Amino acid sequence: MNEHSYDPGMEHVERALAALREASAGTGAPEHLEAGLRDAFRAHHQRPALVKPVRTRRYAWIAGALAASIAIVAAIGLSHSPVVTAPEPPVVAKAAAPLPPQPTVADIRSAVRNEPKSAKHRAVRAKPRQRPDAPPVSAAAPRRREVMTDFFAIPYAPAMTQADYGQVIRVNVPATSMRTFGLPVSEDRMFDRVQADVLMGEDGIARAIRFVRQQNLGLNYR
Amino acid sequence: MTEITTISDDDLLRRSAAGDEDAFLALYRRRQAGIFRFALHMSGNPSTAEEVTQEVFLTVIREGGRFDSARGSAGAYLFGVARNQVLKHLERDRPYVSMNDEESAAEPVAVGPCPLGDLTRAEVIASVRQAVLSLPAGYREAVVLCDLEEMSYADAAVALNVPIGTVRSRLSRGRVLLLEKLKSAGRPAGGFDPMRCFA
Repeated sequence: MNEHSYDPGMEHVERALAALREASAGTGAPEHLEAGLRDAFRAHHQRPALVKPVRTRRYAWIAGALAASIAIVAAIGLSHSPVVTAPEPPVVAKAAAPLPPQPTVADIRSAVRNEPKSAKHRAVRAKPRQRPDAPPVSAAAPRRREVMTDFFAIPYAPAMTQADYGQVIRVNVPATSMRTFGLPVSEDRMFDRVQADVLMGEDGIARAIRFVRQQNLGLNYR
Repeated sequence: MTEITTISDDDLLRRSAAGDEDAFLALYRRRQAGIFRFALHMSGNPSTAEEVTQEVFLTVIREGGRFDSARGSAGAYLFGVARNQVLKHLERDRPYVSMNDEESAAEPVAVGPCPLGDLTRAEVIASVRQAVLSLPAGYREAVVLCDLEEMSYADAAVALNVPIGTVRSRLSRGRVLLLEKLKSAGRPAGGFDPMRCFA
């Protein structure tokens, strides 16, 4: 207990404070506060377990965006002719026909690692195809040189063995997807669409992605 | 196995920081009332007191591992966090007009076997509460911690982050100011007297 010099003039103050102390003795926080804090405690101490679902949701969103892009590309490809030089065909419906020979994961890895940059693209891309009713590509069409990043593995995608077949498809994705993989995107380009090659497994799940830039169009990602 | 009710606050805080939910709840049940009352006496607002209490224990959840028993007791640590939160609230709410008088007036008065005595007592308590609230914050926190929460000078010094001598001087000065305020309010301090009940 605190000791302090006793002043008779303070006796009344002490009695008043004692009365207030006694009147407040039963006062406490509302009962609902305990339940809320208990939930907060559990959430805080279970945080490591929650990290994975959160990130999974994030990448699931990316996978969903890719799937939507693929669907859009496929729909456009079926209804319109390619305008200039679509470097990649629309998505091949795998269930409809037997797959043509496709590069394996090993092919892609070796292509990425060993071949010079200009050859990388050719090594992994399927042969460009045109629909029979598509108009011939104009000779005056501008030539484009593609510059692309390395393949980035998509996190939390199922593992792909070297014996698995993969398929690379060209899609348009939001530029913000590049940031997901640590690539710089300026703020004013955040909502632009960029081209990307997505490596799809036989199960239809995206395993890796690389971003493509058409260099003759300047520095812009188109 | 050690009964959790016999474990010291310091150990409860450490175990809580390590993820022991029972320890956290035991610490909360043991300390929440004091924290709430401190915030209530400092702010005069039950909502603020509730928010402060919540913030104090959220801090325990997030940063309880930073508690250092060498610097003071767990109680002092908790009241120190509460004090910082209260000062933030007081600073934030300064532009607003206090409704404390009306809230106090609306509080129900418990009617006991001696209604007149109860009424007088309730009036005295309301006057003292208001006088405490009108003290400058530095004096008020010393009075609330040492006189109302009966905290030791040493713990109060840790909670207020000042030397013990400062706690003593603030407490002394706070009591003098309190006496002056009670006198100026026309009510002798501690003026309630059961002998005044004639019922």
